[in-house]
Amino acid sequence: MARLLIVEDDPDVRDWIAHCTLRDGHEVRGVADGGGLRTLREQEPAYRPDLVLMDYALPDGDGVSLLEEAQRWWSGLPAVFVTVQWTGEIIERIQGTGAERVAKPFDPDDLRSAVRRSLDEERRV
Amino acid sequence: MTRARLLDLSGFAAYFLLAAVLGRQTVLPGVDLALVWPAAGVGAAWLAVNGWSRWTVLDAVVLFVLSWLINDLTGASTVLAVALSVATVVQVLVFGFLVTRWCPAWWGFGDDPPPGVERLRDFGYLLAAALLSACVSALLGPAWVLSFEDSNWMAVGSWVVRNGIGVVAIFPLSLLLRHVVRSHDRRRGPADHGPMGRQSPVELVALVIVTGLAAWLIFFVNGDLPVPFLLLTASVWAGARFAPGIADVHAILLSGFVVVAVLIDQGPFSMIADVDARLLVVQAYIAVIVVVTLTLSIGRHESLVLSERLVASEKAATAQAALVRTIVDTMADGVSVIDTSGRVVLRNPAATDLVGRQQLDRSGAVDIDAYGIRHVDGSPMRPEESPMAIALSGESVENLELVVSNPSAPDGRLLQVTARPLPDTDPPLVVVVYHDITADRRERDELASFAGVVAHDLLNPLTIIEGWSEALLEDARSDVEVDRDMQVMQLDRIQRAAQRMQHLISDLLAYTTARNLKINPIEVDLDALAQDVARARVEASRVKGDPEPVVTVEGPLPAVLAEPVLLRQVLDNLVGNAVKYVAPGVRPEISVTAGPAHDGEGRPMVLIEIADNGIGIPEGQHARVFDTFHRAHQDGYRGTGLGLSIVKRIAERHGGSAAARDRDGGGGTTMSVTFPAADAQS
Repeated sequence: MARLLIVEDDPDVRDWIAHCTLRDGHEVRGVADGGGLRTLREQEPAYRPDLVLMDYALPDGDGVSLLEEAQRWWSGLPAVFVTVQWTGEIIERIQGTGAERVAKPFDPDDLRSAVRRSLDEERRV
Repeated sequence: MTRARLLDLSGFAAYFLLAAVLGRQTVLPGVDLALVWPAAGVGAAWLAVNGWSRWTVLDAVVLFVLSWLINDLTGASTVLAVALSVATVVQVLVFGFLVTRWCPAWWGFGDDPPPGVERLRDFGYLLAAALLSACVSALLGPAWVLSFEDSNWMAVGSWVVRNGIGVVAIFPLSLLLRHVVRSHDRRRGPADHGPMGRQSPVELVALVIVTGLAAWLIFFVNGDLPVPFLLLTASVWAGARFAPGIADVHAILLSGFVVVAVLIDQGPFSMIADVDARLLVVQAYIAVIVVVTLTLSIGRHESLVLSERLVASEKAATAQAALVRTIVDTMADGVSVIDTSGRVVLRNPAATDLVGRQQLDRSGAVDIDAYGIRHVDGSPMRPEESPMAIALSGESVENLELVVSNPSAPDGRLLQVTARPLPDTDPPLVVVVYHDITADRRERDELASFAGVVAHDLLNPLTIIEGWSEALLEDARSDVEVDRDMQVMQLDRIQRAAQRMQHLISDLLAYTTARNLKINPIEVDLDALAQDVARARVEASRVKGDPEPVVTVEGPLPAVLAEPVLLRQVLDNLVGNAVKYVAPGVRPEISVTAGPAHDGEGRPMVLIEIADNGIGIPEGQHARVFDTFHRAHQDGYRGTGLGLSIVKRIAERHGGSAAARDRDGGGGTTMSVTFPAADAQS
């Protein structure tokens, strides 16, 4: 079991990601955007997720920048990007983070596998 | 072919007979050889027509027979007649041998004879071939025997001079005459340029009169004065001022006059007692006349041809330069040519349009710093990194993208620049070409952004539909008791996602329609249209169970000229936004007003304003809300980001505009659009 944090502005998509990952027994929380993430950090300084499931196109910024910000608080935080395949430039930016990428719409098993692989990788490190 | 050739043969035979008969009339008493022998030139021209061919033998035989016949009939002994005839044939054949090597165009030209001798170099060859062939015929022919029998070496010299000059004077004139008569591609003379310009018929008449008068004075009036050389001035005049054909005729006629004078013992030459010496002196005198006249005239001709070519080249170069300049000046791409000291050699108007006015430092060199050049990422470009500087260092720069930002392009202009050193230029030059890619790049970025947003806004709801329907399906297939509320919640998510997709697709279609639909403006009752839109919105809210909006149409509204379908879309989008963007639990209150206005060019318009009590537009976003896919409120309010860009597009296509501002005296927004007033039509 791991603590997962979903950053996704669309509540229906966020809930669907949660629905998929809850089956593996993870503890799941969600925020809509960067603002929500910062509020969570301020209100619960003790909280540290094991993995973040990140959208790229967020209302108040992009997911790669937000991940970099989050990794300053939570060093080594692994991530899985759950996002629409966009331009080559965005895909390259996501690849640059070293995180896995799951394209919407996704197969729940693919998402769970990506989560599992990222957590395993983190544990090995 | 044979018939034509036989006719040609007869013509040349007659021509040769005439020349030979005339020549034989110039035999001085006490000598065997005639004073002049134009038949040598005729014989050369005769055989030159066909060159080396099977006709050569026939031509040579006929030439020999005619020569022998004339000599025989005009009093030469049989031995002498045969010897002279053999020598004549030998001379022509040797002449042919030499010109075949030196001036092949003169031998075997057939029906395309060259227009005489046109270059001084060729005249030199003619002179050499004529004299060498005369020498060979003199040494190898019967003249050799003749001179040894008489022990008179002067006769050998006499043969060489008269036969050589006979060819030099007659051969080019024969070529020219045949060219004039027979050539399919008759060449005109060169245009007159410079100091040796056009000679008039008056000048020709003057030449004839002066030559005749001078000859008469020198040979008949003051015949005992040894001044025949004065007559050479007339030859110089003819050669320096007239075409080779006229000059040659002048030389032949003048020579003829001198010969006649000598034959009748008139003029300075008659004072030379020794007849052989007199013969040689007269022949030398005639040779000087012919050679001087033709040298000057052919030199003049060649100079005129070269001048004409030069003038034509200059004209062509000027025209070419003007054409290139016009092309460069009308190009949409900017072009600058700069020398190594940084001075501008050429700059077209497009360069000024694209990078601004020329910026020079105190030394007059291009001041790169002053153009405000930046890299595409926004960082400043150092002068030594500029394409111009790189090209000046000898390297080429291909399609470098940079941004120019200066007073002529305050928003920055994206340019693709190619700079190359120009090869073979002294002093070295570089050319810089600027291609404006601002619009292309903006369009490309917009397209990419458009595709990305559409993909994002369709794939997100698709994720919801696919995901939650799969969850429902799994539940339905399992034996587990499923919570009914949960199922409703999942179906509700699916339905809302489908509606989002439908809205986006509808808006995309509306956006396309707003761009492409042909506008046929008619008078539209704005008041009735606004009431209708308001009613529909109130009804929709009632159906959904939302707070019913209060829409006040403050009529009567003036009629407008518009495409009714598009105007309805505008009002519906604006009222729809006013209904949607209110704080939770607040009843939307909307007023629709309209009044007269004018556009920038003074045309009467109707200003339609829709004011609401909504959440308003964040500071600084009032203009951007009309951008495609821009969403001022992304948190809690669903939208495609297309509604207001559709409004703006439709208004602009009608010649109007769209704007947004905070509502006067309170929260909310006032959206305004202008459309042409119907009154203007009446």
